[in-house]
Amino acid sequence: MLPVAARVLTAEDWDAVRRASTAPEEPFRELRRQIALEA
Amino acid sequence: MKTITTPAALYAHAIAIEREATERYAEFSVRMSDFGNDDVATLFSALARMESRHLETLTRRAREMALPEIDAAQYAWLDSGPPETGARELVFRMMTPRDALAIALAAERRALAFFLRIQRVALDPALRALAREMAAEESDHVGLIERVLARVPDAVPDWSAVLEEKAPNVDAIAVWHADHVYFRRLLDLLEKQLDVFHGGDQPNYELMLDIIHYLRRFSDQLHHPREDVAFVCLARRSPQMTLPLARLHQEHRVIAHAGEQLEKSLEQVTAGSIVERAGIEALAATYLVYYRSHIARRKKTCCRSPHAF
Repeated sequence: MLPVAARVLTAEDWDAVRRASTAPEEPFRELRRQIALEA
Repeated sequence: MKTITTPAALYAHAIAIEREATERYAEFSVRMSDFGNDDVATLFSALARMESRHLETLTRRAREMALPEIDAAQYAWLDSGPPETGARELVFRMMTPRDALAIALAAERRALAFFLRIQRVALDPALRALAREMAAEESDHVGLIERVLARVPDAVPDWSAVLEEKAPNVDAIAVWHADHVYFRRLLDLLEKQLDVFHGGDQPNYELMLDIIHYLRRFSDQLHHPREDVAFVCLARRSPQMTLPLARLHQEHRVIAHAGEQLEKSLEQVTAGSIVERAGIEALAATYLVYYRSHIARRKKTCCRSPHAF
């Protein structure tokens, strides 16, 4: 069964959620790799 | 090839297929994560959740049926030896992300072919309809993995973008969940460094700093801004949740403040300044307690609500 929020929140809501941040993810992927190497 | 003539038999086979997929995707996710392939681990974690939801649906629907005994081993993705055998361990150690995706794709294609065949040959219209529904689900997974595989040769595939192409809302939640799984893993790593403190040894300050950098920057820039907007939308549609959601929003600020203090101290240490060990230990322990408590409260708040996510 799909999570209820998938039905409760509207497409407009999800657009707002996605628009809340447009920061690039690439630097974080690099940091994840670095942590995996160090751990 | 087995002959399926009743919905109960089809459910028995479908449940075996989905159970194997759920377990293997979860296992692949853990192993990819163990070996540092976090991007692929995130993808497999999302797929494990999708398969798990489908398995739940099938099991619920078949609850009142007498399901026939079947040989579930025929749907095993890997050899049937126990997971702890050396050979299986070697498979995982040698497995690249592309290998894991290829195994998953082959399994999803076998399942798709199975359901399509039932859809084609079944005489019972209800059985055909059921097989069509299951084939559509498998077809979605085949398409998703094919798209991901096509991107694997690229240096850094953007799993989120791939997932969002399929079903934006559902997969946004799956990616969110994967974020939380990774946050918990980072907190566990941080706690291990605290244990080093307790043992009187020198912890890995660089690792601690990287963990805090990630938790602070990723949360501040990507995760919490989106979560905060989702909280506002959810509170608007479910007013009884306004107060607990406001508390969660407030905790984001408390965590950010505690993280800032810890980050400053760790930056001083790694820059060569003399900082009191007990001070760093207290800050790190406080941060762990705040963050874990927040994750637990978020789960409690959002999972108990009729509008859970």
